Amino acid sequence: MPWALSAPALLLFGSLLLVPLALTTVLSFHVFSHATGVQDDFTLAHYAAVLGDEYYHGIFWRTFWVSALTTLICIAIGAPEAYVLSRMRDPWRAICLLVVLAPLLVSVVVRAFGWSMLLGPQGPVNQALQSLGLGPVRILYTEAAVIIALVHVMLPFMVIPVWTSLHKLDPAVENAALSLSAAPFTVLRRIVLPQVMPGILSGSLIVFGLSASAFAIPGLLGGRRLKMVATVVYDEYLHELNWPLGAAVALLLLLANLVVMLSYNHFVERNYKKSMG
Amino acid sequence: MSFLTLANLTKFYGANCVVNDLSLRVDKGEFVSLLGPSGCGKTTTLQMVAGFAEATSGSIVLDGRDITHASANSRGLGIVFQSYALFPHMSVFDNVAFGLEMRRMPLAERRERVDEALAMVHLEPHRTSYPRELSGGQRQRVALARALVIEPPVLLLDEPLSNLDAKLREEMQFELRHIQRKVGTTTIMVTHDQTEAMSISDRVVVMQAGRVTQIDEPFRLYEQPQSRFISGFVGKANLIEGRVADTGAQAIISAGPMLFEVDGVGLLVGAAVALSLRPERIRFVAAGQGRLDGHVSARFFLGSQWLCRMDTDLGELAVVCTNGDARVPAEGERVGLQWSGDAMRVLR
Amino acid sequence: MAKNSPLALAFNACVIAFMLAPLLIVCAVAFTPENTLTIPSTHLSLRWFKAVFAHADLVQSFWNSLWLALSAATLATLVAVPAGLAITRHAFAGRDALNALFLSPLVIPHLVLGIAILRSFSLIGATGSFGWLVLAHVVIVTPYVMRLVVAAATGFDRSCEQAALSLGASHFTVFRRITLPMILPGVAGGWLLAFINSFDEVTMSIFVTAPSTVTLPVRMYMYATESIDPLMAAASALMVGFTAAVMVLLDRLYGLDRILVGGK
Repeated sequence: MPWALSAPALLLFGSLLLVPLALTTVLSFHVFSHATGVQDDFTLAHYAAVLGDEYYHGIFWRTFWVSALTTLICIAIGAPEAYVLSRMRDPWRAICLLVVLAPLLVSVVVRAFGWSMLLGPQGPVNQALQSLGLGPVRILYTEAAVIIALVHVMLPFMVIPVWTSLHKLDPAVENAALSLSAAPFTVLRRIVLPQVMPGILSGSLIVFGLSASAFAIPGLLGGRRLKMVATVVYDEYLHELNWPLGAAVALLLLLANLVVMLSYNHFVERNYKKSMG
Repeated sequence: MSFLTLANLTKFYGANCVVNDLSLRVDKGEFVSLLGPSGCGKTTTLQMVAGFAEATSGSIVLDGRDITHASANSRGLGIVFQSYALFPHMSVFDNVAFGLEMRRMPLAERRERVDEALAMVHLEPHRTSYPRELSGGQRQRVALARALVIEPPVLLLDEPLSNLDAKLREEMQFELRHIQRKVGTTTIMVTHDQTEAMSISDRVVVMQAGRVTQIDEPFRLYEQPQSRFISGFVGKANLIEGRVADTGAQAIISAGPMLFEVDGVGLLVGAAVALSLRPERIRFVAAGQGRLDGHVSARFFLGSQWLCRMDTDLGELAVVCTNGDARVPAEGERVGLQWSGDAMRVLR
Repeated sequence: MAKNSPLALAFNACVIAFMLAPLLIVCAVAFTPENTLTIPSTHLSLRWFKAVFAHADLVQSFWNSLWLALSAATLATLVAVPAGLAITRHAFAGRDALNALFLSPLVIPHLVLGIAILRSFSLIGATGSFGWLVLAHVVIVTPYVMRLVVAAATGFDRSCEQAALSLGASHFTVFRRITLPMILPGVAGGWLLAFINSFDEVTMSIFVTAPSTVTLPVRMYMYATESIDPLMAAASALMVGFTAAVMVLLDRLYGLDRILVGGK
């Protein structure tokens, strides 16, 4: 019975997820030349190119450190924000939570475009900086712009798991610590933070993964010269028509994603399973 | 002629036997309770009768018809679930009418029957309300009306009063019994509360670890428990350990430094037995004038009764006396304890 | 509950401002009477909104996105409801694997899904087909419906279904009259969430759409990389308005905070 009920979904996912992924894996091993296009012969040349070429190293490295920095900033802003929100009274709490999370439902293109206006040479940010005498600063088309916009898009993904973690906390536990003469900051550090760690880790995983594979934001805010993994794949596919190479890059990204996820799971299992269940 | 017969009903979950060879005959119009601690198999038995659990072996025969393997929606039984299971998205009227709707009864007749059922449980003014607008007691009555309106051959009640507070529970016990007597439906109730089972049932089936340990009228169950378990589960009892010293017209049991004469057949000399003595059968008398003396180690005032814990040569005994009857000894006081011979029961 | 210090509240205000900034500027610039991206200072003008409605490509891609999202959300719901019920109610070998599979589009980068599906489409000649595009979107949005269906089915009191059975209802009647109405808020919320995610989607769509099936976000992306003028701002403002309307609907039906955070 359950198989009958799951059949339509299984058929759909099998044919439009599993099969395409398999085909793409095969594709990444196909030969490509500008003259003849994609051939059916197999080669490891594309993987060799990506793993060996400095150019691609640079792209992966940039993608990595941009994503890592974004993740750290999201933790630094998102976790405290979730905490502040959890201590608000209704109706403010509901309103603020909504304002922080609702941008999730607006297309990333719109948000990226908004940032390109804000951070542009004539944008409000530069105007404010100029009025402070700090001269026009080039933000747009640098990593800084990409990071700022990524933080904006990814912040809800950090707030949600931390918020969920905070909700599971028994407020009486904090009170117990206070009654035992702990200072408020100590309570935060020794009582709240350890319990919220799984939420922070979960959020970090999501933020890092999404940042590493982000497309629209590096595309609109990074400009033609600032490439990240997703925009490189786009170039290979739509401009160079070198699908096998693009596939290789994308699959390496997927692999990196999976490795990060598995190590996270392993880490959480080991350190938090006993205490958190 | 039994109306509902459960014969050798057994249920295994994997290797775990939850109901073991249960047999029970229920007469038409009878109110029977399945009583026991959690895990004794009473709810599983009810589920098998209802059709939500498949019996591993045994049979269920209702009014001559074998329903052991009939599907749950073809048995036509009335069921009141522990959580009431009212349809939250339907009004009280629609909830009660649902069973009649499934039987394709025309609307006019349905309306009449539902109104009758609601009047019987005193919920007429709430026919358009929704479950979330009702109190716990009101929801329970809707569930009852919904089960009875279809005029089922048997009514099954799964811990129907456990979610109500104490005062309401008492009221509902009487209501339940009153309605059942009026309508005359054969009823099986599952409960872990022995006062509940005893106060409204015609017969009580005491279950333990999947087996039936005793089936009796409430009074006999209380006065003549057949095992230590039943004696302790149904009401409170003092259990005095002893040995059979002699047998004859009456058995002589030695316990501590004393000897007791009690009714008992089939006992072997030297066998270890327990004597069951209900706390309310012990009277306070002047020290030295009873069967034995004791110190009051603690006493508790329970409203209508006093409970005194006595330190005696037979161990700790509990004594209960009604408030207002006689003077209750103070803590630490030494008094005599007296009881009649027929107040003691021998348990193996 | 302890109160927040003024510092905490100021911090919160900054975060709020940060989250709203790009949306506010987009809406502000959309009303500019100028030819370049400027915040209107003298008066507001609707000229760029009119330009949006006059721009055939943009309007066409809006309709593409709308039909795409409607179809994808509906199909995803039809597929996810039985699967979600199966996963919640039956313990069967492979259940965890199936659950992971159905939720996997949430962890597989849309970039990877985009090129993978593009490859499949090119092999079977489905590249310009609207129908196949819908199916690609269905895969992406199904997890959103599935999560909400599973949440609704998990918190479900099954004794109501047993009560209905005992009163003589057939299994199908139980599903239709009891189960479905009780999980409907979850299903409806899931549908809306799927709708908005399909409508917004750009990364996978940019690979999978063809000139005839270009969606609004993809069109806007391409436009934004080529030229920057207030037309883009007006189109963005309209999208923000559209999203806001959907959010209000979502809140009425299910509760926006429940959807975003997952239950109080």
